[in-house]
Amino acid sequence: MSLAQQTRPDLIDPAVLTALGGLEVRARWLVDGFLTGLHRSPRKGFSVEFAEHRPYQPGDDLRYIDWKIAARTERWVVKQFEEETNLRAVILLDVSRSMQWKSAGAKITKQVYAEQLAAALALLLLKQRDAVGLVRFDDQIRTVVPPRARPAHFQRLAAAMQEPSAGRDSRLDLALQQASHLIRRPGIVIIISDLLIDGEMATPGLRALRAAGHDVLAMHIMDPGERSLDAATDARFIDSETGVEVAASGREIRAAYDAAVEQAITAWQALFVEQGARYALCDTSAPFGMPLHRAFAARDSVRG
Amino acid sequence: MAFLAPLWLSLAVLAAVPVLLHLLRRNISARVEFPAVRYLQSAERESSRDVRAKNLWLLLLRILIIILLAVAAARPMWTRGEGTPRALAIVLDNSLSTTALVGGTPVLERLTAAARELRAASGSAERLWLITADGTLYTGPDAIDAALSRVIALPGAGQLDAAVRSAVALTQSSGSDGGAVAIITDGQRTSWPSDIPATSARVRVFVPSLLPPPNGAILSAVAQPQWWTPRGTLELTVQAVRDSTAYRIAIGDNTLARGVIIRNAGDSVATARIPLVGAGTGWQALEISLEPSGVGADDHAIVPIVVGSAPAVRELAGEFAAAAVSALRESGRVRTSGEVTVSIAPAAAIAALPALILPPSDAGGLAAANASLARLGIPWRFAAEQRGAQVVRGLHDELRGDSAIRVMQWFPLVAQSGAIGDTIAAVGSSVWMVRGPKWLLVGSPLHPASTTLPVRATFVPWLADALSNLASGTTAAVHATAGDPITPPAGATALRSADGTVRRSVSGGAMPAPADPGLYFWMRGADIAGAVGVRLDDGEPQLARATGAELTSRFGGPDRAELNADAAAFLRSVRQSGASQPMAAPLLLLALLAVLAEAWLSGRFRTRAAAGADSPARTA
Repeated sequence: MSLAQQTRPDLIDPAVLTALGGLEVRARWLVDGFLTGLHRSPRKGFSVEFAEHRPYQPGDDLRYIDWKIAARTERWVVKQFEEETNLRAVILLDVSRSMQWKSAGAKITKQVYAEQLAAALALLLLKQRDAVGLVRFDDQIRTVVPPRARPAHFQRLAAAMQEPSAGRDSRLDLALQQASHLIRRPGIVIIISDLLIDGEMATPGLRALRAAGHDVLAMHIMDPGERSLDAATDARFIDSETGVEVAASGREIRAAYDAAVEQAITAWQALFVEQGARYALCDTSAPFGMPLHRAFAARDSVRG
Repeated sequence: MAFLAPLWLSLAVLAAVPVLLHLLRRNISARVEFPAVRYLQSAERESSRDVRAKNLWLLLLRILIIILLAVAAARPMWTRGEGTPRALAIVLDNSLSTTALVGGTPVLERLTAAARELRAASGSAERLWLITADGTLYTGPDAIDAALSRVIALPGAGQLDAAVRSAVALTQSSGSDGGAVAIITDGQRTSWPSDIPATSARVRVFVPSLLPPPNGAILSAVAQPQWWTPRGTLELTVQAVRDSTAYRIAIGDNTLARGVIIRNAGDSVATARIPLVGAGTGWQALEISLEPSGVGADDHAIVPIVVGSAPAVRELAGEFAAAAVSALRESGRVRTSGEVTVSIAPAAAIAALPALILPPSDAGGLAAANASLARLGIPWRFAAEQRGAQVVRGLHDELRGDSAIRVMQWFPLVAQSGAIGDTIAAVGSSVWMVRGPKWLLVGSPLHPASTTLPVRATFVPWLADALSNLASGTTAAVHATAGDPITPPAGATALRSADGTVRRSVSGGAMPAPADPGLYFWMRGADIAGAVGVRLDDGEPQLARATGAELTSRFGGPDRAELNADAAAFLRSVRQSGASQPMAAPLLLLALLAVLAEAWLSGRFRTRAAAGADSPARTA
């Protein structure tokens, strides 16, 4: 790993990143770092209607250099175009109580990770002239921000993400339904959730979205302590959302638990793939670069 | 199933520990928030059956391990029904204390009856031994039956510890796993004075719970003097069970005295000096009897005395000897004339024996004195005169405890070739007083300038005994306990009982006193040279039963000995002992297998848990 990679915000420990600045600032660092990794200018889009010139920057496509000006002034400038809105994206952010949990060894909750990821995604999409909307949900729809492509829209999205919520359920079906209302022409729906729900709840909504031509990306947020049970823990485990209690010995049940988790992950993956959706597992201890890549790849595939 | 150390069974309560841990573990009190409970529920459904089965097996194995260890520590013996021992050694206590009468029946009869029952219950094909308290061994059913029909009590405690060791050795040497040692005893404390070295054998002991009766006994009887003319005195000491103890003293059928001895309040021992008039002449057995009590044998004693006319004494030994003889004449212990005359004089003045022979008053008469000794046939001579203060050694018994006799002038006595005689006293390394048949040689004149002997208070009684012995031609009678070493007098050729039924040759040196109490004579050819009064064992008349704990400890504790007061239970225990097998080793083996199974089961689940933790899904 090179020094540059170590200092890129999308590749550092999420816990370290979340300790620096506010949500918006961190999102901008992330996106800048991420785009730097892509060797692509984050400044303007490249649509068909000319807007202005600007100085050439490394990473700019050489096709857009205005050779006439270069010949006349011996300065390299690139032509900027008024980019059209490429697509409409809606981020469905799970803000139920289970998202506010972190394991003993983790430094950030699933919700902090999910909000940071959602903010970075929103900014990244906005920079691509995509219209980005937000639906926050728990046991009900908490926040609905319609998709907009204006750069200033990011502040609204960021503000919405920090509204309070702690519902006792994750009504993904309602969120999917809300998403279908927000975007009429084919776009992308990004689900950010710990998916501690029944798969049957999501199936109709997914099917409807796919039928409407939307692409769907599910980002399954998991704490490391959920992936693998702590063997040293003998306790009564309580689900804060449902109140269900299970007494278990970590040493005795760990193997079966881990298998059950892997089975659940496989089942979710199968469910999304079956519906033509994409699925990405996001560990809250992993840097944001990987999920951002997955989302960016999904966005690119939608643009075709 | 029987247990040799049943107290260890209490360890089995530790089996509750794993149960408690199991229950406490299930009662988990810690509460942890965990959103992915749905996965836990799923895992529980998948694994609960395995986990519960494993926990149940582990719980059962741990309980089993603890119980097996506790039972093994209790040393269980597996009994195969009512099998009889393949080899049985019976130790029968027939010591003196078993003659005690309880309920009108001697204890020995009850013990013998128990031995008979045991003998009858044992199969004829078994190896069978009977050992009595004196160590006599009887082998085989027929010999044992015969021995039991004629067994009598010993005169003392016997050697029961040696008998038990022999019994253990016999059963162990039989090579039989089912060997047993059965001990039948009255539990008399003096019969079991010390611990028997630990053996690998477990003994069954039958001790009937019979309270010993109060026992009166003759502790000592001493005739004073030994020569009765015919008067004498008997000093009698008894162990009294009541305030007054009746006695009878007789010679043969002739009762000399009847009376009672009164004990002081709080004392258990009473002493009386009883003046008597002897009957008959010559050596007589003075028989003393107390009223019957507890152990009958110690109610009787025999004391040897000589009855006859007082000897005549011819005294030419100076004023001190003359004064002593005069006192003896006044008391009738000696006479002026009689059938036998004993001389007391310097050697040169002795014409015939018996005589108490003194040295000359100075060295000038030494040759004449030795010539006289030679003429009289005495194989001793006076050596050159010695002067200087010296202490006489060896007169302690002769002077009844007074040993502080000094000499200032003496003529050492030198033995000639073929000399016989009993050295009685010595000064330094030289002989000072020696006794032979009909003569007594003294190394100093009986004068205070030569020796302090004539001026001591014990001189007159000593002189009386010495004159009596010289007149009778014997040594003083001695008292001994059966089995004690006794030394024959000079020239003795045999030891025989007073009634002549027992005769043992004398080969020189000490020999054990006869086992049967009574009067015995040292014989010098056809003449009596001395007497021995053999009395019973001193310890057995003190009837005191050892407690169960004391007896058990004698055999090495409860692990080694099983005591029974009930004859039927004792019989049952002995019968079962031969069919018992120690089970500790198999149980320990089972416990080891259980430990291995527990370790395997725990390790197997740990391995599964570790395998699950390192599964590819976790690291994906």
